[in-house]
Amino acid sequence: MAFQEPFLDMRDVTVSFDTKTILERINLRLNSGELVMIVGPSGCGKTTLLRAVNRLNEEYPGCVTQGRVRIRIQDKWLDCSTRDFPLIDLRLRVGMVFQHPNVLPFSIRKNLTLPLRVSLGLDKDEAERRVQQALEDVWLWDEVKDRLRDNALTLSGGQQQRLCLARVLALDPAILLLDEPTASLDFKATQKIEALFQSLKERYAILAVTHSLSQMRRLADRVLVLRNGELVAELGREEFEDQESCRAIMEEYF
Amino acid sequence: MASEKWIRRLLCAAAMVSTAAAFCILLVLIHLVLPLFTSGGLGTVLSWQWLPFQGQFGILPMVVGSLLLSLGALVAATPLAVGVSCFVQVLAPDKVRGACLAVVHYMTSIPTVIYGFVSVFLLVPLMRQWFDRGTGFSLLTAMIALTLLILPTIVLVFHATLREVDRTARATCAALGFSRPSYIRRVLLPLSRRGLLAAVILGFGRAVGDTLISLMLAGNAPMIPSSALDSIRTLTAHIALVVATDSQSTFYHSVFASGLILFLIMILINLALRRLGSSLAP
Amino acid sequence: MTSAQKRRLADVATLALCWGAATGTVLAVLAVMGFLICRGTGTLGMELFFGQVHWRDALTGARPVFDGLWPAFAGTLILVVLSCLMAVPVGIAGGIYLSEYATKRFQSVAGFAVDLMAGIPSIVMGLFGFSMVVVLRNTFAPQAKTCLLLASLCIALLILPYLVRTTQNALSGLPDHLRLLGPSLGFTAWQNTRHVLLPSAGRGILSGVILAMGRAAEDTAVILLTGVVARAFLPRSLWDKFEALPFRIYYLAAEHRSSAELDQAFGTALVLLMLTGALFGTAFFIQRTMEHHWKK
Repeated sequence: MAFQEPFLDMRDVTVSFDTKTILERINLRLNSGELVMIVGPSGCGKTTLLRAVNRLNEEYPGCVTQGRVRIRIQDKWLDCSTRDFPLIDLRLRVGMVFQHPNVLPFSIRKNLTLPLRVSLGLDKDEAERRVQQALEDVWLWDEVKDRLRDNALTLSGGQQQRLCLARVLALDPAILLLDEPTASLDFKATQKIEALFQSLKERYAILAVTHSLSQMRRLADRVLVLRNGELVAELGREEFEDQESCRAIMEEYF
Repeated sequence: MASEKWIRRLLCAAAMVSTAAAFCILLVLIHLVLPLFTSGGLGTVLSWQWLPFQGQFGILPMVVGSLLLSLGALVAATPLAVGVSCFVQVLAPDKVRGACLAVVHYMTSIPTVIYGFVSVFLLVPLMRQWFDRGTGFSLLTAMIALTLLILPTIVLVFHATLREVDRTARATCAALGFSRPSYIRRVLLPLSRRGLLAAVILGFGRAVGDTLISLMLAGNAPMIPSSALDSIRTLTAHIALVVATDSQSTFYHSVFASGLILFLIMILINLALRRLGSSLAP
Repeated sequence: MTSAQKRRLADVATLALCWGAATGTVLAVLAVMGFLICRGTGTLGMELFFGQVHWRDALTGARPVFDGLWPAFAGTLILVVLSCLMAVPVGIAGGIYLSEYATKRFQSVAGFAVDLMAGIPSIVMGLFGFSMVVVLRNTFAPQAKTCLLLASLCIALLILPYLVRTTQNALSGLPDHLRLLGPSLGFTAWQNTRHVLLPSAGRGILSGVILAMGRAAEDTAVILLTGVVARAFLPRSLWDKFEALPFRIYYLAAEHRSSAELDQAFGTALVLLMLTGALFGTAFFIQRTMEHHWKK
């Protein structure tokens, strides 16, 4: 099988806003089919780290990013931290899901087709085809196939978040960035989304931020602990599998 | 990316229009007032007599009229506005609060000419009856109507500040056992002084700039009033009267000077609001 | 008097001021509206609008309306439409630039100009229009006179700052995660504004536009100096003089010759109040539903 192996490699990445350093010399590798979670106290730079990957930090004034971020596409390493790397390509390869479900006040269908047509320039039929595929990928197709014309804001919180995920998947990314994607959802919806990530990690490399240690234990293959902008520990599955030892480790780092 | 650049330029041009227009207005006014400085007519305009057919074009009575009317309305409107704002934020029962705020919002949309019109037929006869003197068109009449006009402006701006302060302070003070009125007096109002100042300055701007109320109600006699029941003429009404009656263009200098004075007042008000971190626009 | 008594007295005074002010304000508004409704309702009807002329003839302009408010109503509508055509695109574009593209410095300088424009008394805006005519007469267009186009232009300048500010506020009030959505999906800056931010802020901008329309409809001082007259029938071109509702109210209040004309004045005032009231109601409703969407 000609399976594209997506890779992410961050070397000595330092991010600062104005004069304040948020992230300091971060080194991180992400293998294909792996779900890596970043944990740490609030304000330690978790979100900034995610946004350093798709260079979303640069949308804010006064942000300086140093170091190198590379992604591998079709067996070629591309340095996407250079100025002349096309930002749009990078962001299409690296999809992001935000903490709050940020659906647009359009129909369900248009929420999905808009980026396909605007960013990828697809024609109508191709976009339609991808809509169904993406909705099936997030198990939303059966729930919404009869109401694709309805306003997306009529969906429940969990459905909205899955729609946001579908919107990203439709663009065919290699890497997914998840910024506490279940933080604003209730227990039931969280369960469903977690199961969804389990199934998606076969096909994508996923880098996620979470607040919940139990969620981390359920989902992560590898855990990175971030504190005051520095990576202070890397834990393998066996190290945090056991509840007691996990708690002990976390006590130490938080 | 070429189109991105052009869109950006187009938007930038649109953003410049306001700046350009403000400049244009100032320049045109200065251009038209300038002859006064060169021909020495400045003295005749900045004097106390408006007798155009005898060559006296003094607009100082109008300056005084404008200031008296605006300050008078402000003195009446400020305590009212404070009362309404505190009522809405702290005292009103939930159902009344929304309705009361909606009424205040609605007041901003009532045309000025309607306030003037209703006052002519409702307030003026009353004033004539009560004070049994003059025509009823007076400084006091205009002041009452103007109070109503600027009230919502002051309330809305002040209430915005009040809401922020209330959010941070209410729970604490309630836990400390403050009664609601003493909470308003001791905590809320002292903490929102800056907001009140901004609201009052804004209200002053509205009051000075208003034309229709003073034009319809103040009687328009160009003189210094000796009592609140005397007739006055404001700068704005002066402009309207002189231009609309289409008299000779020798009168126009005084009109442009009035316009320039109003413009300069607005610049001052704007600078003051800037320092307070507030703005004239919504 | 003991301090406890003093405090209680102060409390009562505070309560009295707050309740009194609120009640008084509401009563004053009710008095204004009630008075107009009382005196004006009886005059509402076809005759108020079209006088003795059949409405079909009046609408098509086949016969001029002498004793109705139709020409003033039409004049106001044309004025609102023309000034909005000029001000809305520029205002929204300017607001977008200030919110999404401008540097801090530009924001502060242009923001000052916008605030200043918002503060300029409408009579000064009218005077500006009038002085342009004066300047034109003295230079290359000796036959220049005040007209519908000039009035619309000045009204457009009057409402422009409100449009800029409401657009800017509606856009910059959007939550951060929405602002980053476009870039994260590979949109360019303009694509993000066009497809993500503008639709999300649409209601706020729309209600701003409607409020601006109300402002354009009610303003009297600007048109007073830029070409409104008491009797002009329907304007035939942009260079014509015109009638308008607010001016008709002002004029009839001072110059009514009979009680029938006075009734007309009350009817006209009521019509204008209903017009601006309807615009306000629409904007208010739109704004309420918007807050429901984003301020969860």
